[in-house]
Amino acid sequence: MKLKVIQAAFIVTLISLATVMPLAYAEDREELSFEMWTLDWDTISVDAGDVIEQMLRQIGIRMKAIPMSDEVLYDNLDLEHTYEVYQMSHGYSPYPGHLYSRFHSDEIMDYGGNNPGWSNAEFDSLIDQANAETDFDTRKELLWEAQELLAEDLPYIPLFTSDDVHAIRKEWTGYTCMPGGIFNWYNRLTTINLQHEDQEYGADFVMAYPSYIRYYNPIMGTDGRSALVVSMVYDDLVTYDADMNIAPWLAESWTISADGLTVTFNLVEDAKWHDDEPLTAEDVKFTIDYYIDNDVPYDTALMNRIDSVETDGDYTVIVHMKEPYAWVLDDFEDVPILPEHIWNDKEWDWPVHPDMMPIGSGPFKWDSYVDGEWIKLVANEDFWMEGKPHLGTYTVRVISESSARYLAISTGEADSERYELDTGFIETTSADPNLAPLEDTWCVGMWDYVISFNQRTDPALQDPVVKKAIAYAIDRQELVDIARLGYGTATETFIPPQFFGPAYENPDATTYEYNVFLANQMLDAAGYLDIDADGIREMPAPEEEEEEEEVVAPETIEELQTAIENFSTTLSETRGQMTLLESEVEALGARLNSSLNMAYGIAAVALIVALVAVYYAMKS
Amino acid sequence: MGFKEYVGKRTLHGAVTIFLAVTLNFILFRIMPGDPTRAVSGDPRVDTATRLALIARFGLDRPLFEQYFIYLYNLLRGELGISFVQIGRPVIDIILGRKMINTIILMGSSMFIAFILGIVVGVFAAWRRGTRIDISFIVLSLATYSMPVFWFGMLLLLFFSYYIHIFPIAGTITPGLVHPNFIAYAKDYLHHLMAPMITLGVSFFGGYFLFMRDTILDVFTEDYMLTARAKGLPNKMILFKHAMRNALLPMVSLMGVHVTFLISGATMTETVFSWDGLGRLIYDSVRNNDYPVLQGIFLFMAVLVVVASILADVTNAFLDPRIKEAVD
Repeated sequence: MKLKVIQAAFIVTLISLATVMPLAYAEDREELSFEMWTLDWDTISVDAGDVIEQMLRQIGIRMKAIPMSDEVLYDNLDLEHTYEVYQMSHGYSPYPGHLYSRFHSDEIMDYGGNNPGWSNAEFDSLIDQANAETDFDTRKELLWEAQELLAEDLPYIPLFTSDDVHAIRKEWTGYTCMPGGIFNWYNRLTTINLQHEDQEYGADFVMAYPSYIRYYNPIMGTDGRSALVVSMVYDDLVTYDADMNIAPWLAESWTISADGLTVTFNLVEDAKWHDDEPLTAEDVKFTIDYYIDNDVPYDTALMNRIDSVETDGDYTVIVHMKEPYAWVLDDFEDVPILPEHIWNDKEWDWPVHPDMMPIGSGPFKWDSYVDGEWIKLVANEDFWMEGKPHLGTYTVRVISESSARYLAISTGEADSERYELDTGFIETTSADPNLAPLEDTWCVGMWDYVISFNQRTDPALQDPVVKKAIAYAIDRQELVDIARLGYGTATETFIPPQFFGPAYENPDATTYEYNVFLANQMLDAAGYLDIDADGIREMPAPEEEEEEEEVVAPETIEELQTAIENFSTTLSETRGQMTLLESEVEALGARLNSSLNMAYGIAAVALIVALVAVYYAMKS
Repeated sequence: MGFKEYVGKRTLHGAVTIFLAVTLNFILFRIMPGDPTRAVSGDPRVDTATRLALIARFGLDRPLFEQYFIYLYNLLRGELGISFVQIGRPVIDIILGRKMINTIILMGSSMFIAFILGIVVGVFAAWRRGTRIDISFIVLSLATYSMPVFWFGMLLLLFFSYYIHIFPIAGTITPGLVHPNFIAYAKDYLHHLMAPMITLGVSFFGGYFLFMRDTILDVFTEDYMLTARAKGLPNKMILFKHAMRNALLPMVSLMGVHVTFLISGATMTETVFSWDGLGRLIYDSVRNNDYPVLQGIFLFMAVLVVVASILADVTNAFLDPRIKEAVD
């Protein structure tokens, strides 16, 4: 009994000490010291984090790299928004829609894509204009302008892409290197042209997957694993060429009216479904109507902007838009055309399996499978494109463990694998005589690593000077060399032309070349000085509050106009702050809710334990 | 209290236990960090609108209590729910299918082999207690017992599948192959089964061996062993008829405890050899926060354990007069 009392007293003391200690040690001036979260299972993120920590020490900033599990990290990005800095990869889609999804203030919400919570009214309006601009060059100018705003304030700093290098047996040829890799779901050129060096047609290809595909259903098969299979079995209206320009596919040509409100697709004439039904404009119309009528939650940006669809003959589809949409073709690249005669009575989340095999119109047909283990696709003999595809069969095989996958490819049990090589296998692969040289498979990757600053937590991270100094102090090429053994591409801009195609090259873009001296000077000039000489800079001394400007009534029309303009700027800024505030309130509410839920859960457990205890007490 | 009451009471206890398991299952997975809606959307690049729509569709935006009662209600109707990860597929189809058969075959065969080997070698080592053979078997079994099973599996994989090439690298059957008849299918399946079975067999062997050896040594001290020897029975007879039979009883109850392994599978081994079983399903589901599948598997395991123990108790009570008396 006595012992327990002593124990309890000890614990109480400890807890109270732990609460009080930080208060006792609080300093007058905050240090430039941050926690940078990295993703624990991603060696690239963890290694790059350690290197960045070292690099920033040179400019007196402590950026502590802390590997986090993805559950904790993503929960924080989605709901809690309390992190300070993170460094990991996001992943590009084939067109630069990420400027909207990562930085527009509409995306500041639970589960929203704007993780830093960055809000800028001018940027929002530029992106809104760009999203409604169907002329490529005008749109590009708008995006460049928006990119300049980002470069000024740096909510995140683009670092590098981890590039796609593949283990593929050397007897295979005909694959196309495209940003995102030789085996990516939008790389249809590889799908139709891949062939064995000794066998132009009919060779058998085995692709190793780390796990089974999630969906047989083409609407939902958007994750990397399912999407590749879906893109081989189903056709889309358009596709991408090797430079990431939109290219014809099921639609051999198209026109977009000058006002952007009418899009006309002319289909190829000899397309057939795998069950020999002809594929006509009616199927395309059906697909679009199906998405709209069933409120399918995929490709909503496109579908919400479509007013109606009509057909003109069997091979012309006319799409009427409610408003012009910049990425209309890019988004159609993601919409699998569905056979009306099969889907007309199905729900959108119809599991497809096990009722029947998926019927599409693509270069490969569904042949057989064992759920959870493998899928065999065979070449579609009646494919509308002359002489394609070259392969005879394409087998997807699950090999869960990465070393087992490498062994399988090396011995020839598999020919390649779905994803790029883990950094740990790069050396072994490049020395393996059975595999193609890595230089032949090296494409710019879709996984873009960034260092992102939460704009809601530390005030130092809202100061552009600090972020610019950080940008100057990071040697991106060295990050690539260490974290990805050189198989990466340093990115300087928010729309890197290395990925999105040479058309996005901007010679005037603001970039931050590695320059530690300049970074130090900037921080010195802005008053971030190391006052206690511990190697870490402190925040500048708080400024005296400025006196408020006197308001003078405007006397001339010009003065009035300036006043109005100033006012409207202030107004839009206020609006931005409002959205930020709203999102914070919502986040707070959500946190309250989840802690309530947690409390309920614990209460329930306690109740059960209590009941059991009472039961046993009564029994004895 | 009569026998019938006893059975009724046990059944009631079992039902309460299962209910507690269901509740704990539900709470446990939700206290774990991680957001199932990430699994619902499947990909960090899925846009926000899609994600929100899916969250609403699965009711994940509702309060936890409401979700719990919906879960209970569905359970009562015999619905285990639908997987978050493979949207649209009922959990019951995922669990009670190929995966379960694969796991039962793998675990069953490797446990059986380890069991038989453990008994035979255990008896042998106990008989030769203290000799060099005994000690080398103890060292060997301790080594296999404490060896990480995935590491041993990788070594086997490297040796058998890469260097000498006699076992396939992954899966339970050859992909894309259409087997002409059942014999060919079974042959192919066995070929794939060998490497993971050896791995697991070796990892189970140590435990069974040590247990058997110790039990036999205990039995040797019993009076009836002395009697048998005094009667002048041959060694073989003493060992296999008297010692082993009596030592088998605790071994069998140990086996009973291990029955759940049949279902829960061996996560590591199944992953190394890409064996498509329930162990790997548990692993994948934990990674993706696929609550419905996890709840389904754990519920299934709980029910199995409870039912097995009730059956054992009731049979014991029925057979063993001492327990029956104690109950009365």
